[in-house]
Amino acid sequence: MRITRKEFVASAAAFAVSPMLAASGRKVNTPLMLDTKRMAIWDGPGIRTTFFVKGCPLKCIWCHNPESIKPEAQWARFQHLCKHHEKCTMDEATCPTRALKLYGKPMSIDEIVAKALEDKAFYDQSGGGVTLSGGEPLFFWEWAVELFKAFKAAGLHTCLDTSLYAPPAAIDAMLPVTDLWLPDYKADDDALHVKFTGVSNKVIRENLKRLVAAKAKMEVRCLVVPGCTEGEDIAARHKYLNSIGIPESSIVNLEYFDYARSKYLALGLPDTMPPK
Amino acid sequence: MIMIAAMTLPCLLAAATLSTGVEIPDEGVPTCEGGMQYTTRTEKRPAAITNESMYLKWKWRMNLANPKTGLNNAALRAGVTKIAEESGWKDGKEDWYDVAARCFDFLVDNVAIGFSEYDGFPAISAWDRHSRPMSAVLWKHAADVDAKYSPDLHDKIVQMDREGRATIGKDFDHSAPDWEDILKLGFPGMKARADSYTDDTPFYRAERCAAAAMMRFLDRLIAEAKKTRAEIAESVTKTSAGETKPGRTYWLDKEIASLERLRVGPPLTAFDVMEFTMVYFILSEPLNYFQVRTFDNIDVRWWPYYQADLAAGRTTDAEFREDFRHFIWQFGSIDNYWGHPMYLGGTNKDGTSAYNPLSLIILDVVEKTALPTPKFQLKMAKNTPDEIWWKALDMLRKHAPLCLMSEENMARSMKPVGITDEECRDLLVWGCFEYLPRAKGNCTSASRVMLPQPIVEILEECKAESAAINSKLQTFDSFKAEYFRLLHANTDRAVELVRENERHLAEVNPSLMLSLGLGSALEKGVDAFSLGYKYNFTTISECGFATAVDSLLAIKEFVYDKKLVTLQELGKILAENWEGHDELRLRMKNSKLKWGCGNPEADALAKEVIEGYTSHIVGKPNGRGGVFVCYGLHSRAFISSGTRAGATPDGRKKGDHFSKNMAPSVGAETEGITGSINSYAVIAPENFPCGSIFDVMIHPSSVAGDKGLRAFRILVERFFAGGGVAMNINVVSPETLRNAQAHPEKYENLQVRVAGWNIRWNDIPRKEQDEFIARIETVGGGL
Repeated sequence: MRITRKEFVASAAAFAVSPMLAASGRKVNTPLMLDTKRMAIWDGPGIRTTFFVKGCPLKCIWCHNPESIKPEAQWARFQHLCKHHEKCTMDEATCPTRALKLYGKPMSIDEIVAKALEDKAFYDQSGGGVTLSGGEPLFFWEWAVELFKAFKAAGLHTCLDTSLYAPPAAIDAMLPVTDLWLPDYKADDDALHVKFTGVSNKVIRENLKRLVAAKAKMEVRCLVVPGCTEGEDIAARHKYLNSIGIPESSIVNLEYFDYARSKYLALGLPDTMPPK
Repeated sequence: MIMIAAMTLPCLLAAATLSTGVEIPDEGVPTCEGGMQYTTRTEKRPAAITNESMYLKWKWRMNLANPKTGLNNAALRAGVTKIAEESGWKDGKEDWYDVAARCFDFLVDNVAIGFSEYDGFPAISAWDRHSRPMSAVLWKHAADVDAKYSPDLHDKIVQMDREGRATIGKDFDHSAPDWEDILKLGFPGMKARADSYTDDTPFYRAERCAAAAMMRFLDRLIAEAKKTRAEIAESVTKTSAGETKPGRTYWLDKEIASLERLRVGPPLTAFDVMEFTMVYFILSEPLNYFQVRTFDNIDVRWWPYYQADLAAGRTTDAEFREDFRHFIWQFGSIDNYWGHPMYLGGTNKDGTSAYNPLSLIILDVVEKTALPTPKFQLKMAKNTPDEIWWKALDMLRKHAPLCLMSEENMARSMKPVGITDEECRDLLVWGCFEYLPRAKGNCTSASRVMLPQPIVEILEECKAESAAINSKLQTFDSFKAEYFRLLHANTDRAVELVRENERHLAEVNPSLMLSLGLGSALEKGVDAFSLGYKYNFTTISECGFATAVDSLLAIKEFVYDKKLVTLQELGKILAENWEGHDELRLRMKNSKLKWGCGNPEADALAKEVIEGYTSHIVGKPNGRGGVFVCYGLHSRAFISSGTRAGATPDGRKKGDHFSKNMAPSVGAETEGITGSINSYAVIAPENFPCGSIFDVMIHPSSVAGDKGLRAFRILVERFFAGGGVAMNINVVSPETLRNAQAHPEKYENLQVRVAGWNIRWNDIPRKEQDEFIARIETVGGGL
């Protein structure tokens, strides 16, 4: 769905305020949705549809979805496409070069489930399903629980792509409705974690243990960022994960790509991505 | 798919110019933006052929025949022109069969031929597919035949074309002999069969004459091959080290032995089958002006020969591979824009898969040779072995010229025209993705109807402030009803004109070789191409399907629902090619209400348009004792027809391409590949009894690795499960294509699929390249 800025402001006013997030001053509960990616094959088993929420409590310097950090809607102008159309209405639909993009659009749970079901035949044949990613889905965990309940009611396999930077209650609430967890473990050295993501990994480590205790199915992703979190930290991450009961077969090292630089530029953000 | 009659399209005019006998300059000819003539002929021809790879590449791109053996192409054209002009046909004193047989005789006896130490198949001076000798005669004669029977037919066809409603032509491209039969007969058996019909009718006289010419051609080939062999054996070459070595006679020895066997009997070895196929091809396509649109189910047909060769120690796996590599290079060199077809697989009578070990060997050679043409259709079914699936899909990831076709849906599609289950089990695949009962059917590609044109016509009328039309079209349903009324008027007209245009095909161009290769034609005593099959179908193809659907949707959304513009205003805006209304154009162009993204409303309208179109054509009697059918493909007419069409309400500007075959418009696939596959599932295969194709673009990351390969298979299987017949797959990233645009020299071997065949990226026009990039960007993918 494409909406104009005016339409967005009108719809955003209807959002409720999350009790958890109200304290942080963020006026969001139901997230805006960034994107929907069908035919996703790298976000869990089989062919999947991945839904991306907008809003994340971390600020990883290598983030490849910088448009997902702020929970609010954001306009991006891709300079290399922009021809400074003289009658620019800041409207995606009439931008002649498709240089304008509005990140963050409202989508109800019913709409999301309906969208997910469009590819159910592909999931059924491939052992796939739906994945919630972001941003950080657990930033909106109460909503995420409702969404996953709806997915389960529709007979869909669910995956959660998360940093695990969330309160324990979020983990407990999501456990019954999540078939596969795809948590990140971004750095073992907490100082590095703080340096590169803006937050400590203590909460994340506790939540990993919580998942192990609950015998949750998971595939832990360890992003290898050259010059930041490679070498010793990788070994340390594996060692820690093994020590809490996560076998090597459930750990994947992910290659880092720096393809997202144009998005930083389009959003007017400083490009913090390390070189590949 | 070359249709030539009205000769008014720019691209066809280019073809006509090339068909006048003008020798193509050494520097080549420019690529035709109209779309028919991609060409590697823009490459500079080498001054001398000094090795095998050069020979194979240039064999069918320049005259490598021995000039001492016969005439060059210009002289051949002049010769048949003289025969035709001096004939008694116009005065009614001579039947055209007799004239055509004399022309064939002349060509077979006089075409220069040649052999080389580098190859096992003959070369001829009539190498240029753009300038076949008989084209010097044929189209003038076609006009004479039309004038004789239907004096105003040509003008009516031209008028349809000028109005942008339909193109109509005489098609001599869609035929294939009964390969199973003629491989058993061999050339002598074909001649004996023709000679057994002793009636003194023009048809039988011509066939007996053609059969005799065929055997003389073999004699010529054998004599010249022996002569060349002797010369090679006597020659010595100096190596770089200064040593001398004798000429290599390996290929000539092999070829002479094969030709001598073929002179006296049917093919004995797998190499004989290749040689036989090549000689038949030369006689039919360059000399008799009938394309051989498939070399058959080659793995199934050739397997017994290959097995027998191995058992007798006549060949090895490696030798077969090398023979086959040379065989497919013949067509790689010819470089037909449609990709010369042959196909693999199928289902045996007992329900088991017809794939065999030779299938994988063939695929392996195709992969290693990495040519954009010939192309190979693969029949896929539930019984298809996994190893074929994985091999084919992996090759498609590397741009191999393969097309996957669903046996089940091919059979489903044929039911409306009365094809039996057993005939459906053994459908002969030919052309782009077309198919028919083996040896029982042909299907001319006679016309293309422009689906967007009625919309343009309605809006033109609205623009003129006609009170009648504007008051009549108060609702979208009334607009749609008017659209179908005009569309049906156009299709009725096209059906009527095509019927007339095809009544006398045999008198225009008798299919001498094809009739020799089709027992049923000889038995009935009628020309094989025009009347000789059990099912003589004629097709009318759609053109601009998604453009039409999206235009109707745009009218619904912006005129009737949002009321942003009136029909009258839109008519004026389109007449002025959106001048001053770019914002509206972009809104209409970028609307998400398009076909191809799984939108139920768009899907429902698409179904209505296709069914409204095909149901008005399929099953109507044609002029050849058969019926009309529809193809869900139109070759590359989306370029040539779009280039000549006015602006349309989907945001398309005047002259922009139409949508391609049955694919969504560029930019419409906003829900990715699964969304577009879901949309396509509303198009039942029964709409297109002889073939339809869905073009898809897939980002490489979506099918990367083992996991991606499994996902790839599921995509194809889901497409088949939704009723899809044939999938035209491009696996390519926008980054690669952009790099290839910027640095063509680094991507000389990059191939993309255009409309059922592969083509080198560097050979397609910039505008079409841009559309490829836009489509894959819309489909999305990546990490």
